[in-house]
Amino acid sequence: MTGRERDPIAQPGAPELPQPLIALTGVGKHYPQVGQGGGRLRTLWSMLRGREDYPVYRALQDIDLTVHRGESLGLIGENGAGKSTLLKIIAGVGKPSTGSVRVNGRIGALLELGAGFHPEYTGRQNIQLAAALMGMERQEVRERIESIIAFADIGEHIDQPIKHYSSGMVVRLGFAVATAMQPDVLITDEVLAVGDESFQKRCIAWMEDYLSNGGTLLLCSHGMFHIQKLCKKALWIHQGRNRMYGDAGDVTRAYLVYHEEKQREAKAASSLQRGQAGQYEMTRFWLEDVAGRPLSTVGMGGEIVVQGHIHSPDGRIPVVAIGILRLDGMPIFGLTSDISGFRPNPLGQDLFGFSLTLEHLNLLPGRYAIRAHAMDPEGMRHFDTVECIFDVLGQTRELGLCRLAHHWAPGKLGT
Amino acid sequence: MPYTRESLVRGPTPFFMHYPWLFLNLLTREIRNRYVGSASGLFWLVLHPMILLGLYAVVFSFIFKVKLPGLETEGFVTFVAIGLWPWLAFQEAVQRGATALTGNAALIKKAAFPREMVVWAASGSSFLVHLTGFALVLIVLHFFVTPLHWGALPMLLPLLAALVLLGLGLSLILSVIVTLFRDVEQAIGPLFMIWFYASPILYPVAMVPESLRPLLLLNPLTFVVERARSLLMAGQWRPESVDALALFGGLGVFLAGWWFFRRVSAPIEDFL
Repeated sequence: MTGRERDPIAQPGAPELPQPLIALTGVGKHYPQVGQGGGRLRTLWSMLRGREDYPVYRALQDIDLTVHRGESLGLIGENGAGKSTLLKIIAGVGKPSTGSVRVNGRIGALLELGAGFHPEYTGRQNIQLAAALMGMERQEVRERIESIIAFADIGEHIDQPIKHYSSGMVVRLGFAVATAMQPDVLITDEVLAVGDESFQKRCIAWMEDYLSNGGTLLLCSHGMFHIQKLCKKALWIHQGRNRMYGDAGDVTRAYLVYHEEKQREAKAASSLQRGQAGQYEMTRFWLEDVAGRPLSTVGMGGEIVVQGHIHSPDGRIPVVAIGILRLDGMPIFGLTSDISGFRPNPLGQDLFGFSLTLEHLNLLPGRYAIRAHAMDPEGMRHFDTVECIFDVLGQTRELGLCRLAHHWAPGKLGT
Repeated sequence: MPYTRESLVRGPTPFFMHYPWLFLNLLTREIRNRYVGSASGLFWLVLHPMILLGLYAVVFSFIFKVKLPGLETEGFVTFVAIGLWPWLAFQEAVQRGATALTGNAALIKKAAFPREMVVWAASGSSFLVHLTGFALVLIVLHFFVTPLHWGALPMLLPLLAALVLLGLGLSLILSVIVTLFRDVEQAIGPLFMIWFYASPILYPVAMVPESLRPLLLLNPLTFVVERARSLLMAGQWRPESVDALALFGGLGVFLAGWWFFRRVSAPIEDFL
């Protein structure tokens, strides 16, 4: 039997062990794929015997995860990768098909704001049920209901059926209930910024306060900015499996690179063309470091030497165009040899060479491409495209593409 | 007190140690749902059984003029009512309980709590409503129709407890089956109609041909209805061995249903 072993309730007075807040081992979730009729009878029989010999869809597989107190975790991944399934399992809404889940703390889950609210009931009645569903006791609900109502800022409408509420009011009510019990872990599914301007501010203030008081956030978002800002760690789930786990910055960068590459693959066929025989052509193209060793990674602020050979069919000196771009095709910097006044040097019969050194490469960490085109001596037409990929390594929480030279200084009163 | 949520939700500790408040909330929600939007829910709670009782009294006493051996015409109304209300409670409880999982799918998919609670809340609300109605009906019968033996009342409670346990246990099993086979939901109505006529509610067991009687005795409702009558109408309050049998039988069905439910509730959720 799997997934059924649970912690006994912590004994009051027992010594507090520094155990993880959340521990998942080998967690998998399988959804049954069974048609109507007789297949279902056999399925029921299998379930009763505790076996799983019916066809299933494996939404999650082999997820191991440990979350410590105060170590907020971001979940990223494409749509349908299994992020929500994992959050539901941690929240206790779904049970894992394999592996075990241990949670040593109180969970507040905002899986879908306003879920479980009944439109015919008043705001107050709905708070009571929602709070009870989250495991709050009657006494706790009594003590907190006024502060919940105040935080939700519903005013006198609190005793109206919530079918008369605006959607923003419902959302506010949901957030207020979920956060009222000061959970050890707050699980949210893309619902960070809710309600109107003033409520958003209160949400953010609450969140910052929560995090600074040692609260732990489990956040599932497509906004990498949120993940980087709020989470220490990130887990990238790809097709139901752990693709990458680690520092939030590293994982989000890798995830962005993956997406840039995916977009690039879509574009590749049309944009990269080989030169035709009898035309100007880049015959070799490579990257190296200042010592002449081949290079595929460089530290932030380091140096890259771009080397290449160009074939010129008529022996005239060609022009070379070089550009740096992000993998999804966003141009960062480009130049041609004739702009700079450089003339490729002859290396042999109809063959010319160039070497371009990029100093203080202040690109932010990530994956980039350097492209080069062989052009005619007039610098009017380019004939082919070659490309090298490289990674910039480094630790920074700065945002964007490149680091501009800067310094901070005290501010002054306006003019 | 620190605790693990998981152990609360599905742990070995019985749910009612931790979730009485949630259960109460679900139960009141079920009861409110019946009368939601109506101005005076409690009023209907009283009026429904009174209308039904009046209807039966008119039909059987004035139109059919049914006479059973050893019973006055008014006696027949009492005879039917004592059997009918426990039946109504039982039937509605099982029918509501059977659709509790499918009906609360939205809640089950979003919140972590023991799933059996929605089934019990649905069934429990029916028992609560109809057994309250039963109490009212008994009072009205006593004062306006035929005096009842109140001394036997303490023995009626374990009997009704057995009925409630039977209903809760059946609801748990049916709720799972309805989730897997939606057709069953349609079949429950006709099956309960057959069960109604197969129970000695409108007729006494004595009227059934000898050859069919063993069949009737297989029906647990036969015992409940007959025993309720012997208690209230004849005042045979002395405990009988069958009283214990009923209580243990009800408990057995309840525990079997709970075991079944717990066994399959986790994978069943994925069919909702």
